[in-house]
Parts: sequence; structure tokens; C-alpha cells
Amino acid sequence: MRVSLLEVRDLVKHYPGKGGILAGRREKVRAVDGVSLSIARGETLGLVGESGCGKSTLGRLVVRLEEPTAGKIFFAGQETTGRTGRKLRELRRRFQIIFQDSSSSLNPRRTVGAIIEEPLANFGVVKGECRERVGELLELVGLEPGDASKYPHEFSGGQRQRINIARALALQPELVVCDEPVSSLDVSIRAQILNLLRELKRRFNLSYLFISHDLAAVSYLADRVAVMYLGQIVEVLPAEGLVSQARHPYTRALLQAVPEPDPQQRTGQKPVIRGEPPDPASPPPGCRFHPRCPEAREVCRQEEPVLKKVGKGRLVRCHLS
Amino acid sequence: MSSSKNSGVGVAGYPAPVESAGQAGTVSHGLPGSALTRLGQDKLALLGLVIILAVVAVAVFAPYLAPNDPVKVDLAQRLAPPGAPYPLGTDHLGRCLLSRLIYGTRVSLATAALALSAIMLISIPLGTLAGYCGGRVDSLIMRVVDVLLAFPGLILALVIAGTLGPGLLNVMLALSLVWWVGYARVIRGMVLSVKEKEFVMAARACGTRELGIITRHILPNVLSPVIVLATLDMGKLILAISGLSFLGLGAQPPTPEWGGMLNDGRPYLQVAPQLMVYPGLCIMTVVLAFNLLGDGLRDALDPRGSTRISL
Repeated sequence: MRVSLLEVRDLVKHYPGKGGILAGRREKVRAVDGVSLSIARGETLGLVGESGCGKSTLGRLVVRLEEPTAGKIFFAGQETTGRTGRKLRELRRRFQIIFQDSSSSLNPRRTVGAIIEEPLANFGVVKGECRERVGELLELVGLEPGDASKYPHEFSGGQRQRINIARALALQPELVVCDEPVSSLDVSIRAQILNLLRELKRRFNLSYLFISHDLAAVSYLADRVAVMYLGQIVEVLPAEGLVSQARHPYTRALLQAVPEPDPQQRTGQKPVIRGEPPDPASPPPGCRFHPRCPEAREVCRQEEPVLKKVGKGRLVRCHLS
Repeated sequence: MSSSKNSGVGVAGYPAPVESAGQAGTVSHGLPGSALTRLGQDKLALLGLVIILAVVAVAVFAPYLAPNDPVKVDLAQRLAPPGAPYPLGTDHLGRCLLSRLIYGTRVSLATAALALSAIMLISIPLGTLAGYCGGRVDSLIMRVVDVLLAFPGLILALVIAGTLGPGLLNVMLALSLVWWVGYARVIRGMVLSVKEKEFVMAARACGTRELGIITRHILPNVLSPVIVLATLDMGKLILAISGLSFLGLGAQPPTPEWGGMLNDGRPYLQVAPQLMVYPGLCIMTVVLAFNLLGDGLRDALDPRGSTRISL
């Protein structure tokens, strides 16, 4: 078995919920509720789910921008949870993150050169060398070295996302968490950014945790796909078998919600799941998906299913499979 | 426009045309170009700006503009009417009123500017600390702010200035000690909103230390609007300093200061009304100018834009 680059065990993140002294007891929002996963070196794990299911929180926990409430994270065999200060900083250069909003993730008052230089300077690269590296990085992501003196607002959304990618790659990380990197972009530009990410992965043997609600993007990049619902992983399966092997009703519903570009292939029936996901402060008893599940039975209302192995590299959290 | 190495391949149903630079755009700067344009169209604000520039010029070139020594007593010419050597007449000690007004510009502007700097010096670190650290530090600083805000500012300044004793320095101190709280509040709020921005998180993720995050990423995005807004307060500060001087707490004789001159002229209102009229007009004009510019700036910076009354 390959040694995994990232290993997450029973990760939990609770936020204090609404309410307060006057509203009585506070309900905790369980953004991430007992998630375990692993990513091998050079592998891309796609993480999909509706907005609010905790996937972005999970991504931020992995790069230690948030403190987990419980659980452990191991990076290349070393525990990152519990590390602070210098000990954490030493590890930080090995995992980086790309955010969704390409404009708010770049400081409007700094030049692109200064933005990309920052991680390099943080880890002691000397000034002259920095400038050279910035030029290389800009070329790597398809921009001009001369763009270093410009400000972020002079670029388009797609170009700004390229700058974000250049910054994330500056320290030559092993793992990059991509938190919906193409969701805020025009459909026409998404493909370019996805291609860039794929090329960079091949070139530097990167591992990605690719977070998205866009199944098409995920299946293009990912080796394995993990589906998240209300803070829990409900299914893990290889990306190639995404359509044919999906077992969990939620995964199948997500797949059905993907628009089919070819009218000939359209089946006409669209039993898309109804309603909103329940409040993560008070998840329903039993299976968390049962109120929206078209196949829910009595057992689903009573017992909470566990994530069980159903084949090679495939896990499902459902009573019915 | 970049030449993309990867364009041309469609992915999973997406077409892949060339990236356009058209969506570059709306990032907030301290005073964006459009705001400057809007300010330029505001005639009242421009008028304010012109008056302020003129007053600053008068303050700078006071020794060349003043016809006489502002503190030279000429008891033979007490309460002289406007005339040859004294264009606006003299006060009760025979000092040149015009020269005193001209030098008074220096005192008013300098004390207000110094007080404003002191206010910034107190409020920026404390507001940033409260907003960035949160938790107990925030509670502590903000409770102090709440207590100070609970008193009427000018009365509190009066008490502090009275306790410290009369003098311009003490007035500046008193005003700074009272005035910083509002700024601390505003700065704290802005820091709170900026620190949640993704570029702050990105900086943390790439190993930037806390101090670097504050100085490189948070402060530059907080300060320019605050400093712009602070200039609006110059008018209020000048008024407050003149007020305290009028009450005898500020500038001490023989320093020429508008508020103090008002007080000096008070007993002679009926025989020499110019002693009160001119200093009063000076205060009014400068405060009005700062307020006009301030209103213009506020309107110009307000992204909702044009709800101005046009003349």
C-alpha cells in the first residue's frame, strides 16, 4: 500500500451557532462531523457536495487555516494538528490553498510581483532570486514576467486565478487544496484553468484536494471522488466509475442534476432531490439524507448508517447498499 | 492579455474560447478614480478645497503677509478703528488685528493637525489590536471606548483640560484623549471585515507572520479611507480648540488664537465689534470649508453615488 501524503482521521469542526444568552442554549453548527480521508502522493481527490455541506471548511482545516474541534490530520506521516508557531510554519510550505474568489484572494494594494514574492520571502529566498522566480512562476501559469509590476485589478478573473495558482506553487508544495477554483469564473475560462491545473499536476507530481460542486470539473481532474453531505462523507468512489458505480442516492441525484449537453442523450426524467439541506445545527436522526431521499425506508429514519466498504476503493454510507 | 498555453481544449462540455480581460474591475481603493471625478464635479466641495488651500497658504506665509508684529503692544493705539498702519484696527492692547488673525491661522491649523495626529496615533494601534486579536483584548479596549463614548466629548475634554491646566498642549491632549474613541471603533470594524478576506487567509497559508499580515495586508486596506474621513474632522477640531480657548483653557496670551481673540474682544463688543466679528468669520469660514470638502468626500466615496443637492 502506498503511503498517503495526507491522512485525515475523524475530523470534527463545530462552530458556535446562532442565539446567545437571551435565546437560550446555543446549538452548535456541525460544519465537519467526523470526516476521515486520505490522499496519496500525486493523487487528486475530488470533494463534492452542495453549498454549506462543510467542504470548504474541510479544505481550510487541512491547510490549518482553521483549528479542528477534534480529530487528527497527518501530513506525510507527521501530525499537523496541535502544531503551532514555528513548527507549523515549517510544514506550511508543503501544503497550499487556492481560493474560490480570485479577486478577494489577492490584496488590491499590492503588485502581482509582491503577492507572488511573499511566500518566497517568508521562507528566506533572497531578493534577487525572488524576482527571477516570480518571472518563472508567471510564465508557468501562462502570464508574462512583465505582469509582475501590475495590480490585481488590471487582470481578468481567469488571469487573477492564474496569479493565485502561481502564489500557491511558489513554495513547490506537495499538496494543493483547490477550494472551488473555477466556480467564480466564466464557463469559457474554466476549461483553461482546469487544463492548467492538470498540466501542473503532471509536471510537479502534485496532489490536489479538489473541492467543487461541479461534477464535470471534478471528474475531469480527480482520480477519486468523495461526496459530502451535511458534514459527513457519504460516498467515495473512483472518478472513472462515477456515473456507473454511484450507489448512494445523494450521489446519483447530484449526477442527475448535471445538465446533459447532448439533447439525444437526455432521458427526460429528472427526479432531482427536493428541498434544502437540513440545518447543520440540528441534523435529522438516522441517516442525514433521509428527509430528501427518494428511497428512504423506516430503517433510514431510525439508525444512522456507517461508511462501509463496498468494493475496491469504494465506500458508501447507506443502509440500502 | 496573456497568451495561454492551454487554451483550445474543451473540457467536459465547456467551450474554450480565448480569455477576455474585460471583467477586470471593481476592487475598492482608498479613493478610486471615479470618486475623484465625482469630487471634481462637486462645486461646493471644490470651493471648500480652494478655501482650505488658501488658508494653509496664509498660515505658511504668515510672516510675509502680516503687516505688523502680532504680539507688539501699542497702548497709544488701543481699539483703533481700521486705518493706515492697522488695516483692521487694533485690539484692547493696541495689537494689529489683521496680523493676529493671520498668525492665528497657524495656531489653529497646527493645533488641529497635531491633535489629529495624536488621535490617529492612539486609535490606529488600539482599533487594529481590538479588531485583529478579538476576544479579551477586544472586550477590554471596547469597554474603555464605550465608557468614554458615554460622556459628552467636549464636556469631558473640558474637564481634562481644566484638570491639566490651561495651555494649547493640554487642550490638544484633552481632545486627543476624548476623540480617539470614535476612530478606534471605526478602525476595529474595518479590520474585522478585512481580516476575513481571503487574501489574509492566503497570506497566513503561505507562512506570513501575524505582524506582516497586519502591516502588509490589513492596515493598507483600512487606513486610506480612515485618513480621508479624518480630514473631515479638522473643522470640528478647529472649532473645539477655539471653543476651549474662548473659555480660557487653550491658547494663553499673547499667543494669537481665534477663540482667544473672541474672548479678548468680548468686553468691547459695542465699541469695537470688529474684534469679535473678524475672528468669528475666520473660524466660520475655515470650519465651513472643511465641512464642505468633508461632505463632498463622503459623497464621492459613497458607492451609491449621486444623491447630492446641486446648486
